[in-house]
Amino acid sequence: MGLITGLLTLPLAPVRGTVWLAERIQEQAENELYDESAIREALIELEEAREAGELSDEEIDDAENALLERLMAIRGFAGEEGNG
Amino acid sequence: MAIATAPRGGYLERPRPSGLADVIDVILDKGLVIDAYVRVSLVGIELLTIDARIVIASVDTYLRFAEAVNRLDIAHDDTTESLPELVESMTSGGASSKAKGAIEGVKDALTGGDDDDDDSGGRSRSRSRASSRSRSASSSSGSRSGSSSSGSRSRSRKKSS
Amino acid sequence: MGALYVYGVGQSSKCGTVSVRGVAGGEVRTVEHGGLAALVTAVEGGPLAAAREVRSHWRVLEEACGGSTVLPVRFGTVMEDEQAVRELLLEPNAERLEHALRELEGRVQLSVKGDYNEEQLMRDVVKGSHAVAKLRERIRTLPGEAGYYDRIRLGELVAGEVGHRRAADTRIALEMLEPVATAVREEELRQPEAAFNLACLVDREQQDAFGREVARLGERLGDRIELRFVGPLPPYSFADVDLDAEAAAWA
Repeated sequence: MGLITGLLTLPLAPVRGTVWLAERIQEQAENELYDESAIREALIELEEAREAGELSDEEIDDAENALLERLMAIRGFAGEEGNG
Repeated sequence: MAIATAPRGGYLERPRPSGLADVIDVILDKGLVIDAYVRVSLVGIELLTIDARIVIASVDTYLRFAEAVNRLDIAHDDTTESLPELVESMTSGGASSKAKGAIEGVKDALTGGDDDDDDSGGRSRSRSRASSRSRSASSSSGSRSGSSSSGSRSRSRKKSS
Repeated sequence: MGALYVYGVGQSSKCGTVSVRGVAGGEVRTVEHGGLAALVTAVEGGPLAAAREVRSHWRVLEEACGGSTVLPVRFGTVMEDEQAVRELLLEPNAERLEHALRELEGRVQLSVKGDYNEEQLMRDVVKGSHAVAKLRERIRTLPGEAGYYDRIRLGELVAGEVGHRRAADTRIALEMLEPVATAVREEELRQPEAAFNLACLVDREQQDAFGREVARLGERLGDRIELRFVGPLPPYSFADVDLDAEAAAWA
């Protein structure tokens, strides 16, 4: 869960976005919630932040990446490495 | 009496361009599946088995619904609309078989057609749901901040019947 | 190594040089056979940062082939090499893929999703079900964490009620939208407050009429349900060409 704990130590952004987001992801991870609503809402907020230019592209990409990884984990999006 | 109104539901006539949250489902779950392939692998994520996930998801959903109804502030009154009336108004003129199906479903629930508590075991620790379970982005009227370009819902008349 | 990430399949006549960036920042090119072009990017061995590549996958499908139809391939598909793409994907399935592309040409996917106003939904459920109302009352008088299993039972009852409402509202939506679409598919619901999730295949010329029906649907559903109308999208939900047996008939 390196990326998720990493998010928690992001410097406070001028908008609530990043911290709020980190709290959500942590809540999800801790409560073992498999409800995707929080992820979805967070993705939407991130998209807005991206458009509004409130956070750096890199911060948004990182946050988005963490969310998608969580979502994929929920969906059991496994990789099978092998030769086709 | 004919009333000229602004374009009815005008804000919905044009679809808005997709955002990531809109397409993520179809991207992950749809599209052509090719047998002879190597999937990309996701590093560092622990995955539960499928069965366990489905069980946990169900319990979570039930608890969430329970929390949602418990949160309601409902005054005690006897003027409750019965389900048949509700269904009737919802399907407004639609096939009566729909209402019938729904009513039969209710009968099952009332007569305890399905008796056993699905307490899908294995839940050893008691969970205290954070009451600030965050639905903050979509509060009561369900307005999604990221939604359509004309985000404010400007409909002025309620559909009657 | 030669491994190729595969985004989708389009018509080679329309898919010239693809200038958009692909996964891992790589170049997007085509592997061709007959009139078909598989859109691919060479990837090194080893795992990709899958979550980041979702955007790349999306971008390529949206922008490649000059807006002509591309059959999306499932995210995360990597084939061994160019020969595999040609001999395992394109050649054996040429007819089915061409048929699918022909059927999809001039059509777009539009997404119509309905979400319940959760509070109102819960009120309606409590009003409409004595069992729910009673159990709810009983639980409210219990202290603290007591009644865990009662709460599950309550949630289960509510879920049942919500299911009935979903079915009824989905039927309304289908009745209104199917007449103005080529095909409508119900997609999986992923949230408790979801009412319906419809993937609609619509002719380009039908889009206006379809849009009007969506607006009318919104009116009819009122404030109970909030509609989200998104598109146009590549035909993700209509790309299920059955590669092993007969072609999918989704029309």
